[in-house]
Amino acid sequence: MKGIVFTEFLEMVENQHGYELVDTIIEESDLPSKGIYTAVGTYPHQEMVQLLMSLSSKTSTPVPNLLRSFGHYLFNTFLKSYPGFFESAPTGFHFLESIENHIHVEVKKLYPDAQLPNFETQRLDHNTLEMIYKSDRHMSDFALGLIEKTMEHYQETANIEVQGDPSNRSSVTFIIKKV
Amino acid sequence: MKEIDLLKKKIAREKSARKAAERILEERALQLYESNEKLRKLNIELEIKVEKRAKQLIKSEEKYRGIIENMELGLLEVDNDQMIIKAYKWFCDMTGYREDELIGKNAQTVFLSKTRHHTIISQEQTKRIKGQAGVYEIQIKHKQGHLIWVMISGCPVYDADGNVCGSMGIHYDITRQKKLQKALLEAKKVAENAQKAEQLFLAKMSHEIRTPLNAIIGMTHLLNATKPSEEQKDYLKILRDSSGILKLLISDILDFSKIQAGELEVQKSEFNLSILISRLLKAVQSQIDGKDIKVKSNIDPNLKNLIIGDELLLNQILINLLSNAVKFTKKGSIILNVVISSQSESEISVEFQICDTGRGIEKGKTDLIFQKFKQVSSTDKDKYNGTGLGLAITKQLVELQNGTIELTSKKNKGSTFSVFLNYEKGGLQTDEDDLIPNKYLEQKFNKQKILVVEDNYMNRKYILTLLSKWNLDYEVAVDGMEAIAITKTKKFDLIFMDISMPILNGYEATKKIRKISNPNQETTIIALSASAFVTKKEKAISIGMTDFLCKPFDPQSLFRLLVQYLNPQIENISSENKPQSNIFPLPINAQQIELLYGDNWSMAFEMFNIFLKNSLPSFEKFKRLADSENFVAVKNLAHKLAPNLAMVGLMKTQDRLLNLESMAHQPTDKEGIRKLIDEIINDLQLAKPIVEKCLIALQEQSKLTQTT
Ligand code: HEM
Repeated sequence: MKGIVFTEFLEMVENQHGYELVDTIIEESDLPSKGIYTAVGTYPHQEMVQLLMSLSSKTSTPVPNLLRSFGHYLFNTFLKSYPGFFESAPTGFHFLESIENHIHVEVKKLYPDAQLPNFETQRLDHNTLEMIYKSDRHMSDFALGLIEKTMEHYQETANIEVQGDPSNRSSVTFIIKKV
Repeated sequence: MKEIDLLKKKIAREKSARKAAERILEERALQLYESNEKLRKLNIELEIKVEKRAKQLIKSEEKYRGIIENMELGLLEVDNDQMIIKAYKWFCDMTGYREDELIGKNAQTVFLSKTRHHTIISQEQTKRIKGQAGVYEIQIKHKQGHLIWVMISGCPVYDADGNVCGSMGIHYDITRQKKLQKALLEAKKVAENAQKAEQLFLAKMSHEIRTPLNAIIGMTHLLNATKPSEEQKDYLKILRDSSGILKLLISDILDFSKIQAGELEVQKSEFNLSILISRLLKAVQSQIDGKDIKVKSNIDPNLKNLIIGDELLLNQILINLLSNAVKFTKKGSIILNVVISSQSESEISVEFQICDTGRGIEKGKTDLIFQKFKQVSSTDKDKYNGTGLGLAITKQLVELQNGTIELTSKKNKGSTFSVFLNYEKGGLQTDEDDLIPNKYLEQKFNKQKILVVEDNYMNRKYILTLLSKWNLDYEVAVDGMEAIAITKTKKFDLIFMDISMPILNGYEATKKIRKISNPNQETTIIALSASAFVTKKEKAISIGMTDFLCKPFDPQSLFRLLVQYLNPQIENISSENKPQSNIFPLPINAQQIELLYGDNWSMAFEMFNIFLKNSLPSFEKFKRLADSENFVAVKNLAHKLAPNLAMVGLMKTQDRLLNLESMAHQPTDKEGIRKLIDEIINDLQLAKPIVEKCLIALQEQSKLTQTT
């Protein structure tokens, strides 16, 4: 997993709870990297899972909630760092549809070792977008956070229905219905 | 304290992270540098390759341009709007422009002047846009203003995306070819006109020369009949011979031109070859003129049939060859051999050999003599008159009939011409001679009215003298107008109509006579013309003339025509019981007799004799049979005797007999049958003395014929 995900995650924790909690979760997790992350590096996905588990116990917040709010947090970072992707998409649906074939493609060019999810999108009707998430990293809640923020950014209110087998988080379907 | 420791920890972590990042970045930088180096090298290699490729391209382009420019092909490249993009050197040379004067200009406006060519170009342009090539010819303007013909092979030019972006035209200068083509066409036209003029000239000449010639020949004939002195006879002979030669010359030239124009057709009829040969020999004998030459013929004894073919053509071929032999032979012999080379049931191949003991012809020159206007030695012209057409005509006449002609000759030993011709086989030969006996010409007509329409005085005189000699009445008209005027007032039995006349020609006059109401609408009109062209005769018949007589003609031909067309009149007049010079007076139908026996008097004699002795007495039986009402026997007898009446020309009586036959078949009207029998017997009583008279006349005729 790319370093930027770790640095941003830890920054979010520091911003919300202070550096003490950052230090705690680093110290409590037995991390090969010793919690030393740089945005340009690449680290095992397992470390992220450990950090999440640790944060969850310390804050008594379920991991899905943490991932979701990390999605919220990271969206703002993306917005600041890559405004071009947003300018080229006129609506939230257009932006979401462009992840698979445009945004993540560019990400892969920049970081050839990036591990990205797979999205299938389909418009069910004029106001409804179906988006199927597939990834071994089981980060659909992170995706949900990003989707929520996306619609918000485009000032479009939408109900997002999450479908899928709770025991198999490698494939999750989002039904995004504009109201 | 705790906070300071935390801060220290954070700083330490960030320091480590920075170091890690720096390491990573340095590594990246190194990777980048290496990649960059690789790229640079790659770039240099690419540049070298591109340069090499470009050089090759330039070389091959130069090569092809060189080839194209050496091929005198002008290349011009235009875009889709006909704007000139590139003009190659030869194109510039061809059109007189420099390339920079052309680039960016509209090709159509610069080069085209004729609207017709604009349409061609726009048609081609639409083809080009569809990606089709095309070849076409147009005229383009040279810078100097004159037009040049070019053949253009155009093909579309494509851009990098495969779209048609213009076209390339390969121009080939065909101005010279076009000029040549035009000149050839003109030359052809001139030649055709010349040929027409030649035909016209020949037709004219034929008329102009034949007309006076006709008069000369005719007058010579008549003078001969005026009991000339010995001296005058000599002069007349020269006159006759000279005009004969002249006539021959003209007909040679005319024949040749007719053959050349394809106007001569082979006309087949049945004829007796032996008679033709014997007549020919007589004619040749008269040409010998005291030279020490024996003329004879050998006819293959296997020749037993008449043959079917063109008698006139054969006659002319043999006359030509025999006259030729006479001309070149001083003494010795001329032999005509007729050899049957093969014969089947229906066909017969005949070889005619004309052998002379003349001066012969050198080896190698034998082919020459069949050519037009060639005489073998240049001094020949002085010694031997002739057009030089004779043998060429002969060859063509032979070939017209799918035959061949050969010459074998030895200098100073003589020549042999061999003609091979194939004929169909006709019936068996009889001994008849189809010549009209001279006596026949002394027959007299019965003052029938003839109108002679002829502008030439001498010709008129010739015809009129003959007509009055044969006891015919005549009137004269000197042109078509006069002819129409006379025909309105009087009924004629026959009209001779010259074709070429001043004021109104013979065709027009005939058309009028046939059209407007006058007593001569149905009268026989015989065309007189000096033109021997077949087309003239056809025209004459088609506009309503009855027959055609070609000038100059001999008395015999004229007489034949008169007999042919006046015969019914002879019949009518003789019914007035006037003494008749015709040997077949009514009720005998002379036409029927002529039809049956021709000039075979002896055969007619025999038939008449049989009729009187055998058939006539049988007619007595009718009365008896009718009285006993045996009508079946009446019918059978009538059937048996009817043909016998036809054999002596009693056509009316024959009709009655045929009538009797059908009445007796269903004998309802017995009275009618008896009456008919009475009429028949009455007919025969009247006819008997006439038939007897004819028998005596026929006996005399046949004796005469046999002695001549
Ligand atoms: C400007 C827009 C975006 C950028 C630049 C971006 C970039 C990235 C990067 C760098 C990663 C990390 C890959 C790794 O660590 O190997 C990532 C992962 C991910 N991204 Fe995005 N992303 C964008 C938008 C989105 C949005 C809108 C969604 C939500 C639908 C999304 C869904 C995800 C998820 C779910 C992952 C986690 C990996 C996984 O589940 O396999 N991304 N993205």
